[in-house]
Amino acid sequence: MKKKLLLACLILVLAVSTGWTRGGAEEPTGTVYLRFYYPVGVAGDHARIMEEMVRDFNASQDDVFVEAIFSGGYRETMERAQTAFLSGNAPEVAVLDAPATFDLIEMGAIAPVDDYIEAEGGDAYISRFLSGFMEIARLDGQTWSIPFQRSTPLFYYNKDHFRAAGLDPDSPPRTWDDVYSYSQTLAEHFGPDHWPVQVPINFWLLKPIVLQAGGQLESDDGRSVAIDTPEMREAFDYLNGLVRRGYMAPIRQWAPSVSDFIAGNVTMLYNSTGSLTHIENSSDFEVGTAFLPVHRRQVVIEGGGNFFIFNTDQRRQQAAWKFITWMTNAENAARWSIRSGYVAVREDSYDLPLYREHVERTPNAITAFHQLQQVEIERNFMTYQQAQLAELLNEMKEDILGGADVDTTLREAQRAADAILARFQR
Amino acid sequence: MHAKSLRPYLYILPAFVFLFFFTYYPAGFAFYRSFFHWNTSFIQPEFAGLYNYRQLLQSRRFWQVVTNTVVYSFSFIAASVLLALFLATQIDRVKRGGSLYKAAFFYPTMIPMAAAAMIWMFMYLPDYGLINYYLRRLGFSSVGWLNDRSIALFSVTMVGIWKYTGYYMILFLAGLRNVPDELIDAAHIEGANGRQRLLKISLPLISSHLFFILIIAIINALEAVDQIYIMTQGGPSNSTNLIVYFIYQNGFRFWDMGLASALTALLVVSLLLIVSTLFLTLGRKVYYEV
Repeated sequence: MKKKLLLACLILVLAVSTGWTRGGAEEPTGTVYLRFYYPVGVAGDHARIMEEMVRDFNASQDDVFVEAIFSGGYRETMERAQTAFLSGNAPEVAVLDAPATFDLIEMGAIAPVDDYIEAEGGDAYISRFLSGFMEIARLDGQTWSIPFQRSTPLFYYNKDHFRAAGLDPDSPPRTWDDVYSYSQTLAEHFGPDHWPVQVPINFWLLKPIVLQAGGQLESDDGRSVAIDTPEMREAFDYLNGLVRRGYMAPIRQWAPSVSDFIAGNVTMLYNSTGSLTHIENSSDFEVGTAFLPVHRRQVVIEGGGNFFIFNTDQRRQQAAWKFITWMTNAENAARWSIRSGYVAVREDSYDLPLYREHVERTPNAITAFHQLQQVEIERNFMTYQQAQLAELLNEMKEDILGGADVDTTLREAQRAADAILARFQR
Repeated sequence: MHAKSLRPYLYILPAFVFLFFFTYYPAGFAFYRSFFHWNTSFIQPEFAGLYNYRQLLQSRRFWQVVTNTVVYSFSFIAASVLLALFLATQIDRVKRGGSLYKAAFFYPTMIPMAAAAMIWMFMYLPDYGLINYYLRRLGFSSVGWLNDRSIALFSVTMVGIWKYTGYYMILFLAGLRNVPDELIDAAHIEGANGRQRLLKISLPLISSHLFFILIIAIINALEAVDQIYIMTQGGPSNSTNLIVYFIYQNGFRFWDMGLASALTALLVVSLLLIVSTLFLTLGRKVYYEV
């Protein structure tokens, strides 16, 4: 019993002792073996698709062998990668939530990829990636990652519900005010036990709302966060209003919100493009997708995972780069996008006949791409101690939507955020 | 020393080596590291004195977690131990099918907590979960079992009670079976009623079981983490964050190992204090000769 209780410190010592097992053995020649951690951040069978692609990569050549290691959600994968790195046993390559970049650099875990990009053709190579996705990878003049499973928040709605309530299924709400009026219509039609709209608890959906109100959340250098602001209040006026009028359940988590939408308990849902394929496959109604409703500013953020190369040695980093370029070439970026629902990260993917057919078959697949082109894009919420601050924002949202006083909560959250970032002030 | 007298020490040695490396050494190591900065900015630990402890004592979250843990522990221990005792006394009197009931109540013990938590999560789902479905059919309104911060801690406590009561019940039953029938019969003849027979005869005789169950229940309460991880991740609004989950969160999610070590040290010390206090007070009064 005591053993179990001491789990935490036990793992501490395991983490240290695994470091000893890694000796300075001579590098063998021949095939380079890579461990590749990857997360699945949304609902769907993404792990299977990933395994398939890695198998195809391994079969396509003999120089590199990649072992794909499913590591849970974004959070779990990051925990696992950090712990492995700090115990001297890091994976060679991983897909991690892009906003982890500051923390990964701080730890000295990852290697910049500029030299590899240069060798691949420099600008000619990297400019094929959608520029909206590259911003978060570049810090202080260096490039730290390559976009892979990228997304934007997307507005899903149930067209059958729209029809039933007398709303036009082809004109989804475009502004916050629209969301209110549509919700009212839906609420009148469906009555209680039905939620017109759902914005699940997640900092990733809070940031665009703050930006749309004209605010900013974090500084570019990731060392400060602005929580106690008028724009944050306006964002919560919007969300709180929906809750108080009975249009939105106060607290719903990320994953169950997708099930609620599929089950028909919710008509309009804020979620990720990454959930698109799962939602389309699982719904027995017509699914509509649209840009996030906007307010003062027409703006949305990007999100999702990038490929990171861990600091190992030249040979393994080179092999990891080879794997990454294969996974993100035009065909594979298209393949991943089609199967998963994520936005294809390369412009040349959209010209492939394969992708054109896909868009014709499932017109919703192109909504996120259009959103990226037609609406202003800002980077995902990225700071030092990102996991901790993200948790803080989620908790703050739960507090306020759960009924806590807005002013007090924002003031306390601001103080807590400042304390977390105190050691990063220059 | 004579070879023969060395033998028991030799037999104990392998187990003790494991115990040392996997229990006492990590505990000592965590205690030592709790005085260091050890996080994403300090990959190499750096001495910090009491910094981590000061951080904790000043943090509102920490005190919220302590309160949650105390509330969880008291309600879990009281409910599961009393319910187990009640069930055991009833099943002890069952004439037929006793083993059927025993198996039925013991069943949750055999399900891994992670799986049990998944089952409960589906039952607790807000809009189409089993419990809310029946509540609505009976004309009540839905309850936000895991989404309402005033209820969520109660909901996860229920899972703990459901999981462990059967186990404690079996332990109680083992004790009750050893209470000599003559004593009960004699008390009966003397005119003692059911409550008196339980409180004056059975309970004192099984006090060693009661004491053991109490210790186990305290440990079970303080180590609760699986259902938190799966069902709520400490939310909403930190209302279900218990001490072990908080350690995990600080250590692995926020990668502040110094802070996590300080928390671990506090947990170990308070657990030792609680258990040794119990041994020195209640433990002295326990009757071991059944």
